[in-house]
Amino acid sequence: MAEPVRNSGPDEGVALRAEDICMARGGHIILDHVNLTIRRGEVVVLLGSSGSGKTTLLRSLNLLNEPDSGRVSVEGTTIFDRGPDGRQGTRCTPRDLAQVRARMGMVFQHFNLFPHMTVLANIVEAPCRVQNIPRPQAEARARALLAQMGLERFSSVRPGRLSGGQQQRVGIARALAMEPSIMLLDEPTSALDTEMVGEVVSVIRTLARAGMTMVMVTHELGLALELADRVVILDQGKLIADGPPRTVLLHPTNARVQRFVGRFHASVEALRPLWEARRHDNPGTSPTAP
Amino acid sequence: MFDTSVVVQNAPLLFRGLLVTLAFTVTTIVAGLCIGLLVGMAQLSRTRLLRWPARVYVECLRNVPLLVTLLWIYYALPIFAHISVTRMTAGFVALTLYVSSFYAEILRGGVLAVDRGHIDAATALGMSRGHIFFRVVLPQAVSKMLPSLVGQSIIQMKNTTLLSAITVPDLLYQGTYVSSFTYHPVEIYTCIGAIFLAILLPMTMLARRMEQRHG
Ligand SMILES: Nc1ncnc2c1ncn2[C@@H]1O[C@H](COP(=O)(O)OP(=O)(O)OP(=O)(O)O)[C@@H](O)[C@H]1O
Ligand SMILES: [Mg+2]
Repeated sequence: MAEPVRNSGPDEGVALRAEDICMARGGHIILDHVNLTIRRGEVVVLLGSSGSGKTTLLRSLNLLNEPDSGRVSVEGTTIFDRGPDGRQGTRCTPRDLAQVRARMGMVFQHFNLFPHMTVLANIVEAPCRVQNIPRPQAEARARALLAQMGLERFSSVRPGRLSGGQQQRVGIARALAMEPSIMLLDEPTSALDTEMVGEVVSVIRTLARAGMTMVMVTHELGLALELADRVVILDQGKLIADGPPRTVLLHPTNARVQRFVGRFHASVEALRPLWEARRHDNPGTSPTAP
Repeated sequence: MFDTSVVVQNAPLLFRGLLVTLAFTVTTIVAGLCIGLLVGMAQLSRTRLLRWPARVYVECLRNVPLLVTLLWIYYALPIFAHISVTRMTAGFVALTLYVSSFYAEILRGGVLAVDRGHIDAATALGMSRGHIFFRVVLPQAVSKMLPSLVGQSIIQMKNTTLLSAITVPDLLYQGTYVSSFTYHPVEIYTCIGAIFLAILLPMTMLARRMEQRHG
């Protein structure tokens, strides 16, 4: 991966910035003036109860769903800019948007692998046809990624034949094959049987340790405490907490946060030693795929 | 009573009719698939300017009996549009338009049945809308649509018999002609029925097998 681009100004070191994101559907407010800045190499975990808008916020970051108003910029490129009055600001062509999306890897709760393609074809489809990488080169890279995930022997199998854990690792490999600079993960382990969570978590852990910029929605508080540089909590579409996991989860000040964390109180206490033991292996390395 | 020699004696005529029937079946299915693909895509378009005309096209053809469409194209087109059409052309056009409207509907249904999640995944990978349609959506939709496509094509072959109404010399027309001078309609029409059965029964069984396989 290329050296991080050094641009001067306030956006230096910022991978992604979402400002004043608002969205309502059918008279129901889903996102309520959300602001979120992700710095390069940062791992941000998005928490919140069911229906609080986590998925909607994550999908707004690569415009899989379009907010009503707000501003989203990724590595200095504004992909969405609309005022509260509906007036369009900076415009972004579909082509530019596609290019930005190609630099953001997304991992879905239900994997969403293409069922009619083999595992290898799933991984090389976008590199070959979006980034125009020659097929042999793309396949070599895909095989290397599969090998890292212990899946090399499944390259010519249809994804439907794999277990959930294996499918999700293919999903991660597919995203990584684009050499993204940011990864967006929506509950990557919550559709998995418990015995398969570990294999996927370990891939995510490796990525985070390697300095990948990540935004991850999860209900695994342990994972949040272990990996997150920052924890963000959504409640009814409002961002109610944003800070280091220790502050937000172990010493919540805000009453709403206390209520949210309180439901997990037992697990937070159980995980406290884990957090205390945590250390950063390589703070401040540039984002690289493992 | 049942005199098979009538059939044997007139086999060449009946065979010529069968060839016409098969030619109309194959060509109108191919042309219908092409038009159906375009109309189906237009129906799925985000622009109302494409969606609306496609909708009107499909509904007009689906809700008018094929025989009426056929006669209308044969008699009305020369009067209103001042295009003189041969009975062959009229037959080809009517059968093609008719089947294309059903193919368009089948395509629309198949595409809408594709999991949104796959489209999301492809979009997130930076693929363009066209790329997503042809590489992700269509291949999956086709395997879902295949039984219905085969089913509609079976109906299409049977529908070619309506061509005899505008004196296209298809299998049924030849059969009627042969009966008119041999006075053995039972033998002739039994033979024609058997020919259709022999061709279409395997197709129907194939469609059923595909349906079972794709749930
Ligand atoms: N397109 C839409 N139209 C109407 N309502 C929507 C739409 N998308 C989301 N919602 C609603 O917005 C709210 C937030 O949904 P979202 O999926 O973002 O929640 P979530 O925090 O991801 O929940 P979960 O933990 O269950 O995944 C829900 O009440 C949902 O029903
Ligand atoms: Mg969700």
